[in-house]
Amino acid sequence: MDLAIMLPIFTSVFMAELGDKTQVATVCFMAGGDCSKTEVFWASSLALLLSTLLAVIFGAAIGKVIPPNLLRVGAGVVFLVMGIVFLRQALKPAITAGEG
Amino acid sequence: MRVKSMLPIFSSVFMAELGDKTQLATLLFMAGGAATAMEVFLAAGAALVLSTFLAVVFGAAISRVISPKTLKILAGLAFLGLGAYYIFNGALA
Repeated sequence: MDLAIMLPIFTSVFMAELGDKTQVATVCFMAGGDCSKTEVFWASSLALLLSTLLAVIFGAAIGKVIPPNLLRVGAGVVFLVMGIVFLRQALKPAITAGEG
Repeated sequence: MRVKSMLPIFSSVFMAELGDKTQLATLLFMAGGAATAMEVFLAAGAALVLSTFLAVVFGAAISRVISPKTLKILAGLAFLGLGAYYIFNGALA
């Protein structure tokens, strides 16, 4: 392995990810307080590592199998549901025990 | 660790990352041919894991400063924003 080749990959991906939507989502999941640090870290890290693995293995083929638009809409729906769930939990009186 | 509470985190981050700029960057580095698959995977993977670590530390830190209820409302609104953004982008692109 050549560190001189890896360094620009590391720095550009790292800089691009700072403040990016997936990192903001991770901050939100952590701030939501439902999950421990370990849970959020591993769930988010595994998701990003798997997507990196897919990027490496399948390369451009992914874009041909699943339209990027469909993926964005899918992620958008999940985020909307999370938003509704978080707001409901925050704004509802804590009478409904056993929920969630 | 509870798999049930980790699943929504995993699935939303995973789907949001597919086709995202960091994944496209990884694709391009791979397509460039200068680096091996292992080099690209480890370099990009380490960058994303480090940024996730920072997000967890930052998220935990602000949860000590701001009340859980306020944070949950803010996080909920942020998720609504993210969701609208993704659907808008996906539907119009």
